[in-house]
Amino acid sequence: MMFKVHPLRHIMMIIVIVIVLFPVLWIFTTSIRRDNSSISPNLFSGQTTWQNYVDLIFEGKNVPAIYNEIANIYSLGSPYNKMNKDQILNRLNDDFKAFEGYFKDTSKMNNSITSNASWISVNFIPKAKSMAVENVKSNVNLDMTYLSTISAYLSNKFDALDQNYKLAGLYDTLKGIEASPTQQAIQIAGQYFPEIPTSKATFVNVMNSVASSLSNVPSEVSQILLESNVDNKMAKDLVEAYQETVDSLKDGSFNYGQWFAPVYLRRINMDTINLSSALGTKGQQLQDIKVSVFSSIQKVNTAQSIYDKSVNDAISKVQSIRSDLTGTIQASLTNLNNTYSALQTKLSTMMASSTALLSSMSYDASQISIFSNNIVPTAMAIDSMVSVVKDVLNEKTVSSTQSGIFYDVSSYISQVKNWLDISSKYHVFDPITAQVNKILDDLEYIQNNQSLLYANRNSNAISNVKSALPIALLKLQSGLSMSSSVLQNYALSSQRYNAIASEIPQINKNISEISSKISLIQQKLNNINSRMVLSALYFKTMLVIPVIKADETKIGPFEDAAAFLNALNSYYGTLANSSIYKDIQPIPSSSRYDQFFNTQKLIDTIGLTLQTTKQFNIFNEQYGNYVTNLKDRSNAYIGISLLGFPFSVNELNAMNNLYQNQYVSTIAPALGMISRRTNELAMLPYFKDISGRLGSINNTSYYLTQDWQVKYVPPFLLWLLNSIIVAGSAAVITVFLSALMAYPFSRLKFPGRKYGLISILLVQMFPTMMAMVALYLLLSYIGHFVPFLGLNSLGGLAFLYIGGGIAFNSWLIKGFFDTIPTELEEAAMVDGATRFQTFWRIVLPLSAPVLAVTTILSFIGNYGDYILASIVMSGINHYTFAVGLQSFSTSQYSANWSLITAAALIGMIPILVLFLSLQRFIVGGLTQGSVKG
Amino acid sequence: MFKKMILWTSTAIIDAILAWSIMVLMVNGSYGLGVIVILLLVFIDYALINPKGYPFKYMIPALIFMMILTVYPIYFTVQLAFQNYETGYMWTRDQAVNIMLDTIVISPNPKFFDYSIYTLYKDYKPTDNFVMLLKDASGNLYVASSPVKTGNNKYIGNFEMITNGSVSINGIDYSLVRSLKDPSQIIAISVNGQNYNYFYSPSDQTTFPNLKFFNVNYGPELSNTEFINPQFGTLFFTTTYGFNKLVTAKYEYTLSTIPVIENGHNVEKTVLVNTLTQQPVVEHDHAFWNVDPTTGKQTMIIGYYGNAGLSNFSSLLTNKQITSPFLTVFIWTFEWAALSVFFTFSVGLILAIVLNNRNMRLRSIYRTLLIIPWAIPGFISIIIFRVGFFNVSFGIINRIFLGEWLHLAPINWFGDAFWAKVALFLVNTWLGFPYMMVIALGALQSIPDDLYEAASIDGSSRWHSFWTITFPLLMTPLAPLLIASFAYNFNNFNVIYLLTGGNPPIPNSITPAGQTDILLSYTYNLAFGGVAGRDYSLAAAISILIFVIIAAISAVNFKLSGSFKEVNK
Repeated sequence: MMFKVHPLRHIMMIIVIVIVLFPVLWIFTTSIRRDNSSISPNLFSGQTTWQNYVDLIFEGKNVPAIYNEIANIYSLGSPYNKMNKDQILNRLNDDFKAFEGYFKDTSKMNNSITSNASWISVNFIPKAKSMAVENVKSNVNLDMTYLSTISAYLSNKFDALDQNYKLAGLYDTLKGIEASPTQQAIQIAGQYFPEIPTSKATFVNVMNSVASSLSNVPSEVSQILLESNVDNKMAKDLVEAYQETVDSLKDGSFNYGQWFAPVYLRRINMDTINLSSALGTKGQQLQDIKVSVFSSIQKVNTAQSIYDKSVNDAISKVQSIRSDLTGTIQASLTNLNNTYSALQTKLSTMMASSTALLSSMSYDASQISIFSNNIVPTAMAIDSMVSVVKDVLNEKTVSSTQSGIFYDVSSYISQVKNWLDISSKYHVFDPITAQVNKILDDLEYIQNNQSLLYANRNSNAISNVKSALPIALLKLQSGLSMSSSVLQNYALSSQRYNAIASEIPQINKNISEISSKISLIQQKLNNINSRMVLSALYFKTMLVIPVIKADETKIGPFEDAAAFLNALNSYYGTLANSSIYKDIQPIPSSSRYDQFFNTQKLIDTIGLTLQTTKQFNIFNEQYGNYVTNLKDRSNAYIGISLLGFPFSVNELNAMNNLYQNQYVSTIAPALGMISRRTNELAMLPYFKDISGRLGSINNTSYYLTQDWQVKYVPPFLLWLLNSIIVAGSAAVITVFLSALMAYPFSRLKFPGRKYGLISILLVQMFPTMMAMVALYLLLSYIGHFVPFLGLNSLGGLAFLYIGGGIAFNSWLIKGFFDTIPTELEEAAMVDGATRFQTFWRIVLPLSAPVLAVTTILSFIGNYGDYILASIVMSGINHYTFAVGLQSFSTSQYSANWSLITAAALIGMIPILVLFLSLQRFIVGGLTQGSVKG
Repeated sequence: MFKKMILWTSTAIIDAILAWSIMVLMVNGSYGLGVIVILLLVFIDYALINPKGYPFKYMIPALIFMMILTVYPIYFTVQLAFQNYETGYMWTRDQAVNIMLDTIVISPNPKFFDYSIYTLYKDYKPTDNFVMLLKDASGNLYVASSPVKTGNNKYIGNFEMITNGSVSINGIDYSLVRSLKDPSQIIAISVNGQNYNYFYSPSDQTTFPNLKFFNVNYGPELSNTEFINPQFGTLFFTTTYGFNKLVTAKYEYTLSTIPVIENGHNVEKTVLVNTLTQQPVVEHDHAFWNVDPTTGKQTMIIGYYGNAGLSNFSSLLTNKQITSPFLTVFIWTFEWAALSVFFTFSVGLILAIVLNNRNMRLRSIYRTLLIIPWAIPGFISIIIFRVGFFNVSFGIINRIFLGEWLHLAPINWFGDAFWAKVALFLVNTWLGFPYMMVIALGALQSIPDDLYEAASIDGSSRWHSFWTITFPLLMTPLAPLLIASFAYNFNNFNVIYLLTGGNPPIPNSITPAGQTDILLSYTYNLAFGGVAGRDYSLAAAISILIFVIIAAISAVNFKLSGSFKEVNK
């Protein structure tokens, strides 16, 4: 024994098996997933369905598929163009029947969803609401504690602030008072601006006293009018206007600035004038009442304007404090920022122009190097000329008796000097300057020895030089003049570049200085701002906390709980967004209220469900009406089409429009959302009681979409069938032929046996696919004569598999035959059996199990072939399973993992079962056998 | 006697069938296949007639398949490898010449003719007899006679200008019949007194219902017709103008004889002449070429296949744009086969050692579960791995394992050669280790336990006894299997093609080669890759190379496994 038995070995085995079989598990779980697994963040999903298998195996047509078929029938597309009228009508009637089935199903499913949803909304939602409220109540203490901690923290910090900051933070509160005054806000503001509450109190007092003093006025007026027998609309109006005015004074909502007060007062005025003119003394009474009422209201007005002024004064004071605090700093910051951006702009333009200059300089330099191709050879030529001259002159030191000019090169000299003057400043030209310098030397030599040269002008060498020199000089001149303009350009660019380059560091320095200043000031500003924010937050908290506390006491009905949570969350939002949030204790997690919010979600979802099913039912009915219309008219329509008058069926267009507008744009997304949400909600523990109903809604909405959505399901089953036919027939034929072939090699002695065996052995080593080009061309050739063995035919592919398998299988089967004892055959032959009879009656039956196994293995091998099938088969209906799966998995539908994995599973199961059930043979015999031979 | 009769009759029938197919094959020019069938004929006759040929009777059916589907393809592959059968050269020389002779070229200053069809009705139905009325740009009218078949799918018609409402062509009189109400309308053409009714014109929408009849009955004929008139030129329908007009055009190439000097004699030689330039077409490098008369520049017209000698092999070695990708593929094929064997064998051996304990419980269940990857058809697993696991943006490795769980950057599985190879080895190891495990388990069980006992008495460590006892004893039976596995992976097309498709591509390659392509998938791409055309001959040349390598591997293997000895038994 090599190792001891050890639990570690089992653990290791199990881990290995889990890893190894994970892909298989994944294929299975993905194939039954209902959600979109190729984008889902989860490896597995709880939502499962067998729909993919149903789609693959039964290849049923759903509503859009039937629609497409009907549309094709009406337009007499292939294959209906070859059918007669009865056949077409039969096909149509089948489709209509299928349609009606779907309509019935749809309304049944809709009703089931509706009944579940309404059960939930009637029987469960009230309970859920009260549970949710309890949930809120039980959690609310934590928030209250948190709020008091925060308010204590904030008041501590607030107390430490300067008075000015305190006041600056009051701004929002004051603005709030201006918009709608609350008791709490006025009280808080009163601590700093006592005149606000006092003036408010005066205002309220005046209003109350006026209200009580005027409380009898409406009845008095109506009494007077009654006595004067005036009972028209105007009279009623007048009484009503008085009543409204008094009421608004009573409840404190009177406000002269708002539109209705002046309207009532104007009406009182006009009506009184109109009515009193006809009433005499009674009219006078009305007039008096009006005057007294108006004077009272004047008092209210005065009090109100005092109060308004106090608020406005406070606001303007706070505003001035705020701008005192931040104004100057803000201004200088803006200034600095402007300077900063101006400098940045300047820098970037300079950088851009320096880059441009550099590139133009490098362009110029490259131009010069082109000219150097001209200058350098010229220089060399001149140099050699001068060397000839020097040579001559050194030999013949003829004294300069004759004066004369040999060749005036002074203009060239100056030109060269000029060129050198510029170029010597820049190192880029160093490679040429040496040459040009040499030219200068040479030219100067000529210029200096003019008379000497003139004296020797008749020497052969020198006269040669004289004839060559002008051309060389001309060439030099052209090179120099062409290049000198580039040179000048270069020089100019270079100067400008240097100027800019020297300026840039200074600007950079300035920029960094300014930016450090800016950050300093920014910091200051931030300090100030954070203090103001703190102060503002303090006031906000002071204002809000009592409100929340008040709301808390009211929690009871679901809607009030919602209001409370809204107020709380809105305050938390302010808190979390404020800049000082990072310094304070974090807000308690809102997940404590999940039950409440999920209940809200449940209510929404159930509402959406009821609405959607209602819409779906209506849609279903409309769609069905169109179908009924079509059905009634199909006979006539088809008749028209068949007579060759092409016409478009408007019902079909209408159906499609309805489908697009109703189903695709609203119903399908809603169903998707319902399905997803009910799935999420059903998993929650507190919705345990309805999880069954939610699950049913979820399932039913999924199956509804399966009936109605456009689906693409490739013909996997046909592919599988093709594969099985080809692989199976090839396997059976191969094994039979191989057995025939193997028999003489195993039992008979004949010349050529050895070489025959060797050739079989050799041939079986070469997989058929290596000769794929030849096989492809061969099949295409054979196809011209025998179509069922050509390209794109199952026969052709089977033909290739047979040819490829014979050698291998013959070798294998010969090995089996060798193991069968020959005594039985000899006995039979003694009894008079022929050779063939012994083969047919004895050897074959004895080796039947082995031949069966060989056939199955050959089948598995053929089934797994991709390369030959892909070469031979083209066109979607001729694919084998391997080619089909590959083409589907590389198509635009490849993200439909559920379908691919389901198809893969269907394709692998038969082989898996065959293989595992033959495990014993494969493991025990064939692997060894193939080695042994 | 009766038996003999049957024998002779059946032999005669088989011989007749085979002789017929030999004749068909030879006539069609497929001599290779013809020779194969001749060999089969000889063999069958020998087996059937000669008593000594009795054992061969059993082999006849299998041999027919093997000759046609194994021997002939090998011969054909070799033949292809020495040709230039590729996109652009897929014609025989005769076909190429015929195509050139059929090529129509529109005249430099083309004249266009509108046409309308006039048909002879019989029993109120249109017949196949029709004439055409043509109209040129200046409004002159012409009548074109019915086309007459002159050769294989070639027709000739005549046309003549109409003067005074009638014209005569080849002795047939044509006169126009005009509408009485609107004389501008020509409602019929009277042909020797028979009226041909106005039927179809591409410029008259009211006749479009007759388009289908026109397309079926007249179109094919018209598209292969040349209408001749010595004065106005030759007219053709051309696809360039969508069959809406006739246009003056001519055949681009004609046969003509030119005098050349051959072996010192003046001989007349038939050559193709370009009718536009009047230059004879030259022929070299398996193609016909136009010669520009002014610059002498040659442009290829059409290629044909033929013997190309060693050019496919030499281009593999000398054409730099082919050689360097080929070498990459060549080297990777060996790496791939060797490392595949290494990884699968290592994993399989380790698991086999763990499982090699007769007392271990659940052993056979473990083994069965571990065999499952082998039992699933390989192409399914590979496709699922590619689509679901290794896909760069959706695959669960990148998206869930690396993204959601480990928060790592996604791996570019098929865009980066290294990771593509990692993916290949992962998948191939998954597919291949069960086989290795099973054979290793078999070999381990045949090692007697006493050896280990003796070793442990001698104080040998486990590790030591593994390397000194287990491993050498394992290798004797397993070596041939490992070599066979090497040969198998050498041609493991499915994993490569279905997982990475050879990607990422090798830059600057003029042949479709990828960095993970093996020789076989490279061959497949060359022959059936599609995008850059099909080069069957280069593919065949590489196939031959694979043949040679596999033969060498097999020879070694047969030596090791003793298969040759079995043959001699």
